[in-house]
Amino acid sequence: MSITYLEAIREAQAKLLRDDERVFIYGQDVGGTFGGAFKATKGLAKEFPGRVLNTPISEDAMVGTAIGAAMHGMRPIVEMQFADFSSTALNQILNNAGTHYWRTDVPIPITVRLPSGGTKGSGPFHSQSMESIYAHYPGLIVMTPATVEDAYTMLIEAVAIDDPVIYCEHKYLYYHLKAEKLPTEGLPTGKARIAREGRDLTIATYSAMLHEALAVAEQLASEGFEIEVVDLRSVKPLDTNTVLASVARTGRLLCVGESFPWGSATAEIIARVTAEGFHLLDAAPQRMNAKDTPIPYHPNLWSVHRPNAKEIARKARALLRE
Amino acid sequence: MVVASILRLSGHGEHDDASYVTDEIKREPFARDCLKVTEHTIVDLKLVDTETLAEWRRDAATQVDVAISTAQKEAAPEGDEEDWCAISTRDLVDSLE
Repeated sequence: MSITYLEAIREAQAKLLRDDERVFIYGQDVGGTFGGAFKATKGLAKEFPGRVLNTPISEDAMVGTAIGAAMHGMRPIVEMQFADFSSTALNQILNNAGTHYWRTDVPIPITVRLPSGGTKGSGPFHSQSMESIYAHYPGLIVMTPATVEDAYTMLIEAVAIDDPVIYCEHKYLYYHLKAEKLPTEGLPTGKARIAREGRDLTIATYSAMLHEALAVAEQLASEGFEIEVVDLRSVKPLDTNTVLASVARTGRLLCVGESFPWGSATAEIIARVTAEGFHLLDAAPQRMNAKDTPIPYHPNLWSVHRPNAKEIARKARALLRE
Repeated sequence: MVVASILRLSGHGEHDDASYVTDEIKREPFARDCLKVTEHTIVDLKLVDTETLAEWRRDAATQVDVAISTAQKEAAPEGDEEDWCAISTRDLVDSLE
């Protein structure tokens, strides 16, 4: 038996609904027989009557309603059809959910699931990676699971956290990742994982880019280089200590993310490592992000718009030569 | 709060056959095809005749076919030939690599 990243998300929600009567799922077409745009809630409406609820096509209203429910003791999970659409709910997420605890001492335990990242032919409005925007604002936790195991355990932990959690699930990983079984426990939120050990260069990354980085590490191993790959798991909180410890071993740092470059999580990592670990670096730290344009439809353009293994390898080789 | 119930009369794209829209739903008042309603209204009000309406439809279909044909004849774009510029004031592009 194997389970996909997408199935792990569904199973996590089933467990949450089973274990905690405060949990409900709220989103467009998540209920009924449709089960959500990607089927992440398939069958849950029937299994848990009255707790998997369809919403109007208004992301703003969805999050606003969830905030109200959370204030009154519920643990809502809001499903956005695509991360890109959450921009129409920014006011509720950033200005209401994100500020509420600081203003009132009343936390807002909502989880907003964002189907994130690009796939071929999805274009500018169905491909975005918005983790850096949400990490920029105070009051939010931003998770970026890259494995089936993390997809499962981190979603369960997201709902348990008393604060708003932005859960960025990568659409490319939905069907491409499989695991033999679901874990019973995972690393705590805010703790990065060494996905591959090495001594020549650290690649710090998250979400789908982890798998591009691991492919590069495998490729460069055949050229005699040992690449250490750090899976950040969440970009807020950001486990700077694990990155610094890795850079202490390798002396070189390449940060890779799929979001747009300005103000990205990769920029934050480099700022922190430069400020706190400048003495550890043997070369200027580098980063790679998507290009600073909207995300193209055409597969030829899309494939070079975001970082890919070929370009990451090119950048890594240049950094190793310095 | 005002809730408007409307119906998308076809699927979201080639991947969506709209099989979740049942015949029962299609009989609901909100499931009326607004284009057909408009056509009936135009004819009832004698604004144009049915032949003119049919001509408008043929013209619209031709324009769509021409647009698809044009797009399909164009060469596929290549990343190294793209200038990756998202703004029209190109001297203000803040290049990031």
